[in-house]
Amino acid sequence: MKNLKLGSGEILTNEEGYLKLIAFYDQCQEFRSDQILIGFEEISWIDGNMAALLMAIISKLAKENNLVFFVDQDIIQSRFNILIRNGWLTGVEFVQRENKTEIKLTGFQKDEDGKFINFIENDLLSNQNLNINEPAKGRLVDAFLELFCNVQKHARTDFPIFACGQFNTRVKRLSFTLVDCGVGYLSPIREFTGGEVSTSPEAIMWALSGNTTKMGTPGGLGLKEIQRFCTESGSEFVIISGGAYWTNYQLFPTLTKPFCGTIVNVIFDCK
Amino acid sequence: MPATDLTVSEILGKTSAILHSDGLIIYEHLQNCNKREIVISFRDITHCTTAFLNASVGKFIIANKGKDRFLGFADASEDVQSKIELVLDNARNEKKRTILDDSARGFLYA
Repeated sequence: MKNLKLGSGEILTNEEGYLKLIAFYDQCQEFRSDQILIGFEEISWIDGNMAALLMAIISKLAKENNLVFFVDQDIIQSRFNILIRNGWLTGVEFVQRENKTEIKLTGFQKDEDGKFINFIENDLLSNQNLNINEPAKGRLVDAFLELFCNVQKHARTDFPIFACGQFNTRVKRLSFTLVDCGVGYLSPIREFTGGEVSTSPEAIMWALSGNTTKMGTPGGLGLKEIQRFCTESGSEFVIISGGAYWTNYQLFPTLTKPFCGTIVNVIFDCK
Repeated sequence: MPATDLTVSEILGKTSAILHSDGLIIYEHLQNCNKREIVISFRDITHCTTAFLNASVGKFIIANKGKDRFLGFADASEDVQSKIELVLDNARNEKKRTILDDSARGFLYA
């Protein structure tokens, strides 16, 4: 069994946290038909919602590299209990807290819109730590559904879509992560624009500007609505695709290490 | 109340009008409806996205531009109605559908 470390320090919902998980993915890529022990020894913290990206990485490696993953259950139970409470590590008993901060890690097939609606309305928005009025909740539901549709339409993959959330009680923020293992933004947009859009940063900006690859159909309203909601509410909207990293606090995307598909983070300010 | 030609929830067999692929199903029904004015009912629809509307209503508008065919809507909640208006506006305004907004291009090539 190979012991591969997940990195060191914190894995937060930011670019640094993303890069640590991608570095782990790159390490694992060297192996085929093997067993991997995921090393959490030097990790001091992991945002629970990042379990969605970690699960996507593990699922992809399990399928494509025939890898089997293990963890030290004692370390997870003693230091990363969140990964048990949110369902990333299953088969371990735990006592359910009254004040739940985790939103369960869930996988969705691309036609499971009913399951996704139920997840958003009951698992995510029913978290008692949220203090959002009904009109804002309605807008949130809409925003998440548009997000799901973007993935369903553009990802071109049969891999499940993974979603997970975590409420941080200290800073009163709800972080939600949605991951697909598809082709990312660039490929369909480059095809559609005949090569005029040729980089991942351009592709993200193109999508955010209200364009669409859907031939003969209008579009581009989903991402713009999410962006507007986040900007108005002081929340953060992050898109990572094809080695481009964009947040609504930046003018345009920066370059980062690529992973397949697209990761979307929405970090809601719940103050 | 106008007579309804298509009821979304009955065609899809569910109360959510979310997916682009489901929108295409409705679009096919609209195209195959042999009427000049088609009334679509959103009765029992609890959730609706612009992605669905783009693929159904918006696509129909674009495909039938210049033709003598019209859409009417019934039983749509206020939320669904506002999304329909957004999608119709986007569908009818060709300038909004052109590639790469100038301001975004300006940032990229500055």
